[in-house]
Amino acid sequence: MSPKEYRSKARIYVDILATIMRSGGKTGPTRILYGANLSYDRLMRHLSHLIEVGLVAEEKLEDKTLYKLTDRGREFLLEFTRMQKFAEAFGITI
Amino acid sequence: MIGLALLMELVSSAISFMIGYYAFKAYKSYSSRSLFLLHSGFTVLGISLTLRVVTTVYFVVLRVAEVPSQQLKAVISFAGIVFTLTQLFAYSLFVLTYALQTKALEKTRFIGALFPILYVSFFHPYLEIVALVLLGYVTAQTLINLLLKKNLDSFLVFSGFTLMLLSHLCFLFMIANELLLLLGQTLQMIGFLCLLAMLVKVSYSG
Repeated sequence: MSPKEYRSKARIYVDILATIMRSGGKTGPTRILYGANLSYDRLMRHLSHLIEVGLVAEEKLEDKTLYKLTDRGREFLLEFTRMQKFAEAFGITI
Repeated sequence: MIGLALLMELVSSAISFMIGYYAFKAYKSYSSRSLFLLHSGFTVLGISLTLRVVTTVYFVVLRVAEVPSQQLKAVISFAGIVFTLTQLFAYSLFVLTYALQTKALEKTRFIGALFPILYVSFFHPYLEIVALVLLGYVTAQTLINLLLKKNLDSFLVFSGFTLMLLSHLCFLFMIANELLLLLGQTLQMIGFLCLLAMLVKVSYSG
């Protein structure tokens, strides 16, 4: 995706979830920040929404905060992949 | 022959509704305008195919009831126009789907995509040709997508629209040979089966 291309909210959520998934289902904010290509403020805003809707869970480990993909989050990611494949088959980008 | 043609038409409309529903599910989750147009296109196409089944059955009933041929002719003519216009509207929605995909939609392009509908409202003898033009555009877009993606899903969508295009070619030359109607409907149904195969493949992918 080129940097100028518009990313929908859903696309951003998927990028965040996919980064956590690639990191073994649990990771810190820095890795997500780079993986999803977001600023810290925006990442925190999106992460708090994802926690609120139950797609991501927060885990405090001493001084570190880790973000874990929930079962619902995995299901959402899988469903998005299916929808994406469907749209791409027609040449539509989500 | 009518029974078989009706059955194929029913299968095609059922598949069309299924694809429309899946596109709507995707639209609800991701609010993409193109997905909404795709959903609308397949739903309207499903309605138009169902309409043809209903009118054919109605026509058979009228014949059995021995309704005067003048009245029958009027019913067929009216139903034919309604059915084809609905189908053309569906194809126009597909055209818009792809027009939207190719960057921002300019006003002229929008009118250009809707023009065939306005045109055929007045000159219905050319309906099949207009359908061929619309489907030709959509098929070309799916071919470009296939060349870019080079995967089975895109191939199935391209095949689906190509077969629909060929079916309209058969309908266009139907006057020359009645069997072309059956061939056209067979091609159309195989086209929808290709789309169904893509849908099933995508739905069960991990």
